[in-house]
Amino acid sequence: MNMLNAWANNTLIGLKLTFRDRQAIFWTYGFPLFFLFLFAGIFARGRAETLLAMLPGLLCISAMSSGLWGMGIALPTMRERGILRRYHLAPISPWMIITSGIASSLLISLSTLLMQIALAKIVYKIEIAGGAIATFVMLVVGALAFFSLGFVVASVADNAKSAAVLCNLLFFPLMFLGGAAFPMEFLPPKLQDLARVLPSNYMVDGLYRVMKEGEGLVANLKNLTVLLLCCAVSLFVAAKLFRWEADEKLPLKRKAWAAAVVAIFIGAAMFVKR
Amino acid sequence: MTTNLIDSIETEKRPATRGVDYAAPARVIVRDLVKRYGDLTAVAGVSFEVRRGEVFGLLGPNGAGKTTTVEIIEGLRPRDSGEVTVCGFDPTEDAAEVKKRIGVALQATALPDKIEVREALSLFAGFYPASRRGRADVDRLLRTVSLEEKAKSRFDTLSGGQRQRLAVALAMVNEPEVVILDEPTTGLDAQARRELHDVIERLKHESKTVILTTHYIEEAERLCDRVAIVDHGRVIAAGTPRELISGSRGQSRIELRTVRPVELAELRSIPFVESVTESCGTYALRSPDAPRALIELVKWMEAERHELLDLHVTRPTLEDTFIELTGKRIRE
Repeated sequence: MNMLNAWANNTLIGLKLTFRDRQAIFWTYGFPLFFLFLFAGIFARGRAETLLAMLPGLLCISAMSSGLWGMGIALPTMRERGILRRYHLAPISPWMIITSGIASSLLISLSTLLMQIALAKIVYKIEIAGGAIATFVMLVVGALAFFSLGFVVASVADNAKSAAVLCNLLFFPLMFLGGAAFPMEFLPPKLQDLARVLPSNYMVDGLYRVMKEGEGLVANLKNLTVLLLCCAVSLFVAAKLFRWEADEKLPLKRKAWAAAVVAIFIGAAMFVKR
Repeated sequence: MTTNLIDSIETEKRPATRGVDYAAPARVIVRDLVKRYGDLTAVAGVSFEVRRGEVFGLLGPNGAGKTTTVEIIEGLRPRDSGEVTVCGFDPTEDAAEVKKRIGVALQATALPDKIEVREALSLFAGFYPASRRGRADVDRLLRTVSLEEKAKSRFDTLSGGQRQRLAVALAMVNEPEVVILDEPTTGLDAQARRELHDVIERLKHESKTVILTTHYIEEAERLCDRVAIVDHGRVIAAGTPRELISGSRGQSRIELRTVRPVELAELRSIPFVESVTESCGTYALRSPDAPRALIELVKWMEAERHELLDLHVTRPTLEDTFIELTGKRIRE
């Protein structure tokens, strides 16, 4: 009970800190807004039907950028500046930092995603075929997968700079191969096989089926399962590799161990696909 | 009669150790602690004990191994060998138990830029079991460190001294059994340092057990019940500031001015006076035992009907001792 209060308090303060930071506000709301008008006005030329087809990819890009860039950079920065060190003096586990960080970022990210949907509805009059709950669940599960991935980046990277490099390395394949920027069918077949491992595909596919085709959650069980699995594996790896101190180096054993878990997961994903 | 008087002088000058509990087991025990970073041995066999209610100082130059030692006690770093016990627990084996019982102000405490002082205190208080923060309510902590007016200020607007006092308040949120302050006044200006000294003296009055690392000799002398002088990863001397000073060759100086001139040889013949010099009518007496020499001096003056214009006693400082022991002045 006591720890739950502390967790809630930490999450609340995380939210407050974001809203007090002007730069964070710009990247959280200004940037996605710009992307929405770019997609809607230029790529979809204001046509509701086209925009609706593009919206899943756009929402996925928003979730990915806040997950990877937000989470993946924020934690190494806190570590580098010695803020995590102060937390480490208290009797709390890495899970407190990880889960509470995800909770506050998720809430903020959801507000961005819902803002994008609302504006698309109001300004471009799109008509979403699926139910509100199904859409919401799909958004939450998809965003969770990317926030967890962001935490893996944060735990693997030694500092904010290398975290930024890792984010770039992940972001672009996820965007271009993962069906977020354009449909996966545009890719050569060989690349499609590889692309199927990327979690962004499952979020885009799930959102498309719900929002455009009007499917329910049961029909999207595969997408949901893959995204949740990705989330669970990422969290597990992130917690294993978590570091409080800036000068703490990752022992090779733990690195190898985490790499093995990721390899098994990816291997299984590819095997299941075939 | 004479001995009684001397005793009372002695008692008055004794450091405030009334709160120290010498019967209880030591709160912190460090034995033969060793820590290496590659080829560098940062801590080379440090041993000391800290009693309940004691302000214990680790005094030494930068790079002497003070911070590494306290970071091992705090459970932030593993040790290579030796024993460490904090409130009956090993900081490596039972990190959580140790963390619940100690409060730490790091050499540099970093918090999120936009967090408010009060928010930070209640956030960190929440990380401890409720039983441990019953009395340490946030308002009282703010008062203790004189930050009431800054309660709503954000961390990035605080001055260095205010940040450091917030760090001390954060160290107190769990009503700790042991408070560890790592170089709390380094880099602060004189005013901020004085304010922090007041805060530490308040802790001392509350009979808190405190470990204080510092490279300021006056700070150790003023605040600590006992001091360990650390150099090159070893404790080279330990004791109360008085013991350390009297254990060294440093001597007290008695300076006096009289109405009529005095013969130097006569002054020298007073018991407990070792040497006498004169300049511009001021006589400087050196003595290994200033209280006794003073009494003998007053008796002699009374007998000889000399009248005093001015008198003061300068005791040897811990700095004299430090230079004697380490062969160097402490570096800034």
